[in-house]
Amino acid sequence: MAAADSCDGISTSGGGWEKTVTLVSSDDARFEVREAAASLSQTVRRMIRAGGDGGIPLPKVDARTLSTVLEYCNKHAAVPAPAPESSSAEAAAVDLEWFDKELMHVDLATLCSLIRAADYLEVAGLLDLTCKTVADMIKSKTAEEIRQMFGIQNDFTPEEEEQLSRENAGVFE
Amino acid sequence: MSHADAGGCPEGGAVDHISGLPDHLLHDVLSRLPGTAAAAARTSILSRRWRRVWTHLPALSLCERATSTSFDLKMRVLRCLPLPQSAARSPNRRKRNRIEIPNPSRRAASRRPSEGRGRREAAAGGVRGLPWPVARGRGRRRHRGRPQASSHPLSRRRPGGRRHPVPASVHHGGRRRAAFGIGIGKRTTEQGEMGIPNFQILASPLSTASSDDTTTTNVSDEHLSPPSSPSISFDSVSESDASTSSSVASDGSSGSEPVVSKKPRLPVRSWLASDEIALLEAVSEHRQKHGRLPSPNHLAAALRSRLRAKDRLSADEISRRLRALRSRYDNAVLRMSRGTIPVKDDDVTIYKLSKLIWEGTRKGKREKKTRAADMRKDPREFGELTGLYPCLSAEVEAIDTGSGAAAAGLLKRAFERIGDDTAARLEAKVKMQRVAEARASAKLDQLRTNVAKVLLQLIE
Repeated sequence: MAAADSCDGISTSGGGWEKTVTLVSSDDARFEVREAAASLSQTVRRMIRAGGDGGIPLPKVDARTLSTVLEYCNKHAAVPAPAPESSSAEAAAVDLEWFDKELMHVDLATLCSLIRAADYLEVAGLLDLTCKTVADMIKSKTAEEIRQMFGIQNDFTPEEEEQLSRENAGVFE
Repeated sequence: MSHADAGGCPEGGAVDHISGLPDHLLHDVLSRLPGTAAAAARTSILSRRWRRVWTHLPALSLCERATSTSFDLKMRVLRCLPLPQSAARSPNRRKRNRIEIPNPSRRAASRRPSEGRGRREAAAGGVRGLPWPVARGRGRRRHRGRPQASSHPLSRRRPGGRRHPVPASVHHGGRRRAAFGIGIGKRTTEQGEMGIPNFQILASPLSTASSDDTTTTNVSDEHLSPPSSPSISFDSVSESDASTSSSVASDGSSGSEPVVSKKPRLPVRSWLASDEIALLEAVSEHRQKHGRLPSPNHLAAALRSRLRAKDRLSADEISRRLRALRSRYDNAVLRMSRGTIPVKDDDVTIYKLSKLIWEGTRKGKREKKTRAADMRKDPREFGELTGLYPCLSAEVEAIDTGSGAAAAGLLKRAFERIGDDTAARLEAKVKMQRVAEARASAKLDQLRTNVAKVLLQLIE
């Protein structure tokens, strides 16, 4: 999807009206992205600045995750500088929010790999979005519910558990 | 920026994706839990992996419901936070956490380090210590520059030392949370002594506007018993140990202001107030029962199960603490006489207990110091006195003859009027002195013999 977005996929820093860069995922999938979008990732931005040809290798991100990340980047980079008070800017913000929400409709494995990717690529907005999503899943749930949701194994012994709940009784009320 | 620093990933990459995330990412998640530290703390009962994650949050906000009562809540939450063993054991490190208490009256933006670099540096600092907001009112001072590497990005200190909070939106993709509470900033420095986790409390509005009115209090907590911190290994041992030698100069202040680190440390409260209270209670209990103060050994035995800090229970430690409490009580009495009364509950309790134990005792001591020599109306013969106090008489004789012809006999005659109490006391002192002299001369003789032996050997 992201690859399709970067329409004029000529080559690294193509000479069109907008520069593009090529990102290479861990499984050697190549993604052509506008530089503006790719620069949302601080890691990529540094690598662009450092120069290099034949695409930027991102060995810690697989193609599936990277495509989602780039989807996010494309969308967010496309938004023009916010012009306050204009109705279109407001609409864009609402649209963006909706987009974010939709983007987060993924399974847990994807979400976790998105968090890792956002951290590795240093896409602050995406990291915030994904972590917030997980936090929202955690909030106002009991420990048992959280365990079930995330598949966390309760590896405390019954005695330990009892002690923990006793210790924490004061805090969790 | 490796994900290998995860510290406590579950074995074998189970289906449990979330527990597989590195600690700093879990921190990112937990720090976005709305509002309270309690919410983050709740995750500690999920599994072993999660047990300690929340305690290492770079920023922990405790929800303030009512400012006056919430201190109690904070204490309770913070009491749950363990201190790592290594913090107390390793002699070369001192950990320093900062507790930031933003001014609740202003709208404070949630501040979290999102940008990778600063956060990771803070994490690499390996703070596993935990905050203890004791003695908030003590020894305030303005904090100046810090080393960039170890200063927490929360505070956004620039080398110049001033706070420049960055609007949260910059790092949050437009998201802002109004949150006030305690942010616990991590920071590690190596102070080269004692390994005391050291906390500063800053009361500061973390809003984007004024940011210079920051007061910092140094608080340290040397005795919290630190449980082992099993799964989380943010510590970069190499960093802290290798730099120990150079750290003293660079620590506590930024390179631009090395002067700060040379300032003498502020007095720090090293015991938990609850422990001090337990100690005082034990003392006053013993006093009521037996009518005298207990010996430190006895106290140590009595307190074994009652203190939180189990590893600091040597009799020595306790008597030192008692002396400190004693002098604190004396100071409090002084302040009371000037109209300052302790504010905090703990302080009041400590004061009351101290009063039970020590009230009136200081006076007795002062009387002793100003005791005058007692005198007899009827002078005794010098010969009689010589029989009674031989050593003292000899001294008097020596002084009398030493004073020259002018006062000859005057001092001797004065001595005839000496009272028995004073005479006995002085006699004892002179005797002690004589014994000491004899011992010293014996030693000197022995030494001379040894030297002579050696010299003889050399001749041979």
